[in-house]
Amino acid sequence: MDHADWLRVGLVRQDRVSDPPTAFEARVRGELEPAWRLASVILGSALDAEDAVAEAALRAWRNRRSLRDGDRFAAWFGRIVVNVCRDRLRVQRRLPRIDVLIDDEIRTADDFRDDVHRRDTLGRAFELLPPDDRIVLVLRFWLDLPVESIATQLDIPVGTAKSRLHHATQRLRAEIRESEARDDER
Amino acid sequence: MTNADRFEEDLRDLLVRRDPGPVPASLELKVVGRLRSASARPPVLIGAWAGRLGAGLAAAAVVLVVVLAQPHGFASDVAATPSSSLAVTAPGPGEGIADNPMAPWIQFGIAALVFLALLRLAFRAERRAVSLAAFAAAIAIIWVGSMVARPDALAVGSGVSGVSPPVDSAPAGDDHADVAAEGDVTFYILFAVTNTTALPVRLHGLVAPPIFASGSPSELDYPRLLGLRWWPDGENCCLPEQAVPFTPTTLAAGASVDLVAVGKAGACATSQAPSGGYATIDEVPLVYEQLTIFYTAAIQLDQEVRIPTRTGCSAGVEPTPRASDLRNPEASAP
Repeated sequence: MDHADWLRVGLVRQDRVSDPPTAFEARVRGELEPAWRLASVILGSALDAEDAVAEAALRAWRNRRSLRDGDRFAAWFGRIVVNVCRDRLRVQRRLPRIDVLIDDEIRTADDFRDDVHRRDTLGRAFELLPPDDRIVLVLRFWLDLPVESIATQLDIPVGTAKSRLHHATQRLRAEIRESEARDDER
Repeated sequence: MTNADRFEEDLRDLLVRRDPGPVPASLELKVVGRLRSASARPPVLIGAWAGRLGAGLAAAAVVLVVVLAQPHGFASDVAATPSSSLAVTAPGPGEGIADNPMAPWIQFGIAALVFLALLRLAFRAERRAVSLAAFAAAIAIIWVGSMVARPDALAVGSGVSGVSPPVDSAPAGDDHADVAAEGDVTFYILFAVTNTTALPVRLHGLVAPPIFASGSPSELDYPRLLGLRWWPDGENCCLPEQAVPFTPTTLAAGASVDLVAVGKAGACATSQAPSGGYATIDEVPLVYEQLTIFYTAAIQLDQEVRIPTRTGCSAGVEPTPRASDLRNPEASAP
């Protein structure tokens, strides 16, 4: 074993996952698309999602020793992405976005306006949710994860996940009602 | 469709619409670029283990330098100084003389090993709390090491002071106290010692004096300290004749103890005019211990103790003058 091999052995032994940088990069590449899509749905901005995923990859590299089982890389990286999105939402000062959604189906003028209005209201209410509520709703209604998987993803007890999901739903409904009440007043 | 169903359907629809689809190429470039710059390492010129060993030796050196940088002495290093003019003989048993302690290399070695282990834990710990705790413990070792082995750990404190028997006719002087003695009689120096550190100190007694060869002309000519006594629990304080031989005692931080240094005045001591000048004692060397490490401290007395001497009492050996006397001979005159 020559000097380079000896150094390589020393480097490998420093990492629990036994991944040299190139192998770690390959793993991250494999998780980029699901991470990017998850971050986009949570943050509501493709640009923010791009930065969040890049930051998550960097954070994953720096904390790679905390991954004890290499087979759980996808879940581990997904958790980091969620944490980065949460941190970003907490510092963001965003105004509610107004999404004008066009339905593909042909409707009557009144039905069309009602659908647009309802979705617009929902979109604005969703943007006003606290980060933790937004994340749990995305995991439940976009990724279709069961409550147990949500608890694992967020590293919280199952009971807490259930409670958080329930409160998030209730809060979203309340935001919608408040928004509709403001619209009726105009 | 119920309201709940419609709500869920609308929410799912909203989230699907927020899904951007396939990942853009710019994201992959951005992520790969960040990973590669983060994972870039400088050339390793030496083996990983050699680097760790070097860091460990440097850390051990830091610990030793901090601890040893404090000026201190071990009992075997203490010798009679010109200013004290101590000529001593082997003391009797049970007179408060401390044993000669070993140099604390074992303690230093253990402290260095513990320090290294804490540093390694601090850098390798996966949990931040463990890493911070290890760093704090390592810093605590440095701090404790800088606190022990201080030459000013013991100082003269408030308590008993003076000499016995005193020279009644001597003019009042704040900087000296004269002993009335004719020949080689016993005299006493009363003083109080205070622990000035934040850690407990165990006081072991007087430094074991060096032993001169018998028949030395200086052996019995001049004053010497032979023992240490005290009043345990303050009983019968503070007559020196009623003090008992000192036994090791622990002083809490800031605590004081009253002590009596017992000496012999020397054959040249006189109660008449000091034709031979004064033999002086201005410090008492004591042995103390902190955290299993023994040290000596020369306790500087508040007042210089003077014993008048006469010439012609032996083979003409004069009291060893102090350097200050040579510069200003009149300063030592009564």
